[in-house]
Amino acid sequence: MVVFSSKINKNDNVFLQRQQYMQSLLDQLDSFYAHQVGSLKPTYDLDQRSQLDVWTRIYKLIDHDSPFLEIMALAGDGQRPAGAVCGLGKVKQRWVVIFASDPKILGGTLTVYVYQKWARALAIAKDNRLPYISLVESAGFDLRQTQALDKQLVMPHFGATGKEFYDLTQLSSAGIPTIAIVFGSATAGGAYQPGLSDYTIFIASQSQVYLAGPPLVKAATGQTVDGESLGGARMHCHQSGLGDYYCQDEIEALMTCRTIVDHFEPQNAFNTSFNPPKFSLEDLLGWQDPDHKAPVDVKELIVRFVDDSEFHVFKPDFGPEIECVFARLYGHEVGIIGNQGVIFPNASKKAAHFIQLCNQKNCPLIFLHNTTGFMVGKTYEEAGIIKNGAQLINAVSHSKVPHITLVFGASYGAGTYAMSGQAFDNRFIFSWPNAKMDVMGDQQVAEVLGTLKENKAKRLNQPIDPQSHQAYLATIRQSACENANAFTKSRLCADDGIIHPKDTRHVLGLCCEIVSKEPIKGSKAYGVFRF
Amino acid sequence: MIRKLLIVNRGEIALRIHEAAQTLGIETIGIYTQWDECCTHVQQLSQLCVVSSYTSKEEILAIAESQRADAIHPGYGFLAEDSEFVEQVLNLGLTWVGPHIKAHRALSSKSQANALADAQKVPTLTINRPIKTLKEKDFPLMIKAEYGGGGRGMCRVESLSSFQKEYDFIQKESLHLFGDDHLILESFKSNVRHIEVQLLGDQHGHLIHLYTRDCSVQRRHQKIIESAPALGLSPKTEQAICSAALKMGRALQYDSVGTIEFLVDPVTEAFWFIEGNPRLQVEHGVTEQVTGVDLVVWQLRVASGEPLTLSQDMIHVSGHAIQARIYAEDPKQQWQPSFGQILFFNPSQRLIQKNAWSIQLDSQISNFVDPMMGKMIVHASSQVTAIGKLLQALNETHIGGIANNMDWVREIITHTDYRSGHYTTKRFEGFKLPQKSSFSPWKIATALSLILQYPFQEYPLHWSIRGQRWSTLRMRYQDQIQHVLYCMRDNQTIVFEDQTTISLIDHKISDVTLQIDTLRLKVSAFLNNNHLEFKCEQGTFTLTILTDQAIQKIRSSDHQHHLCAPIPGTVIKVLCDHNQVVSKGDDLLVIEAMKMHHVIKAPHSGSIQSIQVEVGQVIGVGEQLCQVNPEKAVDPDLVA
Repeated sequence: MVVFSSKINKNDNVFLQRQQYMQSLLDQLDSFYAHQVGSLKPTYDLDQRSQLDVWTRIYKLIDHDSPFLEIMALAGDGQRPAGAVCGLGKVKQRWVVIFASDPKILGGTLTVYVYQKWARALAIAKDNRLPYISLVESAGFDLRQTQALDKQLVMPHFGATGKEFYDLTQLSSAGIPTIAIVFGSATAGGAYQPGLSDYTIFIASQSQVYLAGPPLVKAATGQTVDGESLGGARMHCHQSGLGDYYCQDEIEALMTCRTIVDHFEPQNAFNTSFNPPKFSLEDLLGWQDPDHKAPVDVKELIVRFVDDSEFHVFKPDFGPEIECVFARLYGHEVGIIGNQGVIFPNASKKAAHFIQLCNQKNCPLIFLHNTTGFMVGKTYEEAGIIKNGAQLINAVSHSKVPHITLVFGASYGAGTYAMSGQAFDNRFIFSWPNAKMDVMGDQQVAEVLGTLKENKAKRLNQPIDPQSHQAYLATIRQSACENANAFTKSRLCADDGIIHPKDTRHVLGLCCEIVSKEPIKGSKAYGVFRF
Repeated sequence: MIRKLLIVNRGEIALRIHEAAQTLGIETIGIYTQWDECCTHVQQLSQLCVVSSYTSKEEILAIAESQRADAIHPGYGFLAEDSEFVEQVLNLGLTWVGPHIKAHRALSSKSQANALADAQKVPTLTINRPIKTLKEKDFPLMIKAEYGGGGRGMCRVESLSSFQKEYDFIQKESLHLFGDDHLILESFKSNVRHIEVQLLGDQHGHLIHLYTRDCSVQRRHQKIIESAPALGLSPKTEQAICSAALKMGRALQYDSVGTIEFLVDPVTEAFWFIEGNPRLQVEHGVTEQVTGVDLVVWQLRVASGEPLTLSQDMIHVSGHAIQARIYAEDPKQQWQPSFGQILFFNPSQRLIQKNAWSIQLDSQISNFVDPMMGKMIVHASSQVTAIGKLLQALNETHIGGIANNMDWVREIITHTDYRSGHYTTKRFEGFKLPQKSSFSPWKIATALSLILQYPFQEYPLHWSIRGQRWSTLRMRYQDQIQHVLYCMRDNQTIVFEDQTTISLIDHKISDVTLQIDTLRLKVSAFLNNNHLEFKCEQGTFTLTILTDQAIQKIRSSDHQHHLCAPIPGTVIKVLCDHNQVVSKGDDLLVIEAMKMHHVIKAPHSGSIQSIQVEVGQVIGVGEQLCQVNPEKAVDPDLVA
């Protein structure tokens, strides 16, 4: 085992400047969260039956000490966050997926962002075979969005919706239990959340579930009826049978849910004895160049999140632009593929080889993105860079071990795909706040579009005003920057969230623990190819 | 010569006798009951027989016969004072490790003992007049059971008017406890010290005294702290007291270990004989420490007929010894007996005898066993250094799960009145623990509950992507319930709402070092389910962590208005009837547990819906006693 010696100097001026940049991003992240986290003090009082905010509900539901791995925390239209929280926590020592409406945000209306989170929650439950718990209190389908169009995420036509209900039933038939706790009203679409769940918990004088609420009943039939008798907890638990458990208050409902989970199949006892890394992740706050122009050694990152800072490099002398290492994380054996910048043919071949090794060993793969893409140019086209890239993408696509992806730097073009991007069926994908992801860099986009414009002008024999052309290029660059920005990406649900670099070990470790819950079976479709 | 000794006691005294027997090469056999599996003697003796109770004479005699024991050592307690039992033992041809039967009878009976003292011109307090002649000026007086002891079967009466009622009660109690309803009356002395003299004699006419002990720190006639020698007596008085004891012993031809107890007026130094104990006493250890005489070994040797080779001039007192009895009772909760399991036990190893404990980890303290969990004996060159040593031992010892009187003992021995020796049996009787108002246990308790529950390992407990995650812990401490808001800064540091931080510095099993802002504090702590206890310089703190489930339970039990037994015991009185209308605070039931009567009062006005228990019923903690429905139904669900 080679002892790694870090080259990071925290007193270096460059480091301090970069750290300031990172800090500004972290402040941005914090200020975003600051607006969202529910009241600091728990609202629950012993003597008073009260409605809890969504965070108190979640924290009362999960084990007192449980970490909470939130998913798509930043999702939203930029004005307000999505009206639901999605995340993973432990209930009675079992990892579960929680999807909780936040009635404080547009009454928990199912906006396009809520739909994204909902779909994601269901997918995580399905892929990782985790119990699915929904905390329902939603005003239903977002009627406004049938007209209003968000700049980038558009609500699909009603005809194209409903996949979530389908998925919910699929969970159940796959043997994954589903529980719905109804905290408030759940109308129409919302009503099917409890309707399609395995277990339903209702709360006295709070839960109201009906296909149509009193106003619509009045409009449709002329009948005047109050919400409580139309679809209250008492009615559903005593008459319709939609409710399985009738609880006096929210706490009782949450405790009932915990008890239900306690009778589920126990999950593996997770390994909790492992040594922390010997280097601190805090050292990385001034590590990277904001523009990702100065190369960084990905081993500086690896050494800071793997157990004991110990790792073993595979094929160290071949294709050094991708680092492939074996290490342990939270006691789990993992394979790590990390970029050292541009991907060259040999690096690509090595990574494809390594993915197969991990499939053979049945160990999860961690992808660390920092690539501006595959090397371009005549030499590399001749060397078969497309073939090599295709090999890697193919290996990634057919790998059956869980993939966990972290975008800690740049992630551009086919490099994004080859490193198991969001579309490549990874189990989790998180980003650092400085991450950039797009089809290509902003400068390249501007130049490509600029050249195209110039060519067109030439073809049409139109003169090009250099000033307005520069302005055009600047606009394109700005919009490309905006698009590649980690915050934009995360807001539009193109990843599972932005994490503080110092939390990297926790996030990857917890993901590793979650994906290791079920026995991992790598693809055995082929023997290992020596590319 | 004793060959095989049957030890008919438990815990530390059984161990003490066992050890002494072993030094003499005597084989031992012990007894135990089903409730006492985890008592120290059961763990350490190599031969034991099970009995239904430690006072079950028939079983004990049967064991002596079947196991071919040739001697019985009763230790201290009821059997040691039971002359009938001594006779039964002697009739079987066994050796009784104690005085000859006549001396035993004479000291066990209070009236005989007083007659003996009178005969020897030793002053007594006995009122030898018929009850009818009692006048108001005779009060206050003491009623004592003829064969009573151990703080039971006695009562102080303030005035003539309440005399008959108390007399009848003690009579009933002594019949129940000692099988005899004879009572004696003594005039009551309020400002007096309790001083006793240790005697040791043999069957060949030798008898010596081993000087005095002071046993004035008492609570409800139960000795708590004893010391040897008794300080502050003039040499003349000390001599006079020891001589009086010797005179009485000689008159009895006393041939074993025994004690003569006196009350001494600290001002006039007048003294009165109160009783004699024909047995080893709980506090014999302090005398052993200062004289260097192994009383239990000698007790066994003289019982075998060996002559006493010690003469009076060989007995010298050196230094000062103190013994504190550690009881399972809670000085913060009106001395309620504490029942349950020893969840944690970490006795001081350096300063006190290892085998002075009756408890160990997992021992059960119940209604069926002696509430004295052990004793701490220290010996040093002077009183002040002995106190210092005892303080250290008290600080180092942590008994978890069972409330105990260690903090109380600590307060007393550091009190100036104790140090100066200016105290009488009254001084510490109602002594209350000062409230440590300045020390708030909440934050430390929060930190400890986290450390002990989830050892601060390298795992993101309480973590969230959003950074600091505030959590709350709800705890109960004494009568208060508090919500503590905290968040984990990292795996070693907890931050509170007021920005106080507590960091974990070191943690080895129960020894935890915390840094509270700038203060570094060492505590001994343990957590068992929701029971958290920690001990530090500031005292011992016991808190209950209230989980949401627990709160849910409290709330649902509130709805039902059931009264549950706060402690296990026996129902001795039912003072209410079905459907009776009661006011808040009315007495409903009386439960006897240990030596105390616990009155169950109505929590609110209302009517008795049902009574689930009857007089004489043995109940466990939490068992439902009765149900009081409030005047108006308050639950809207019930109305609807």
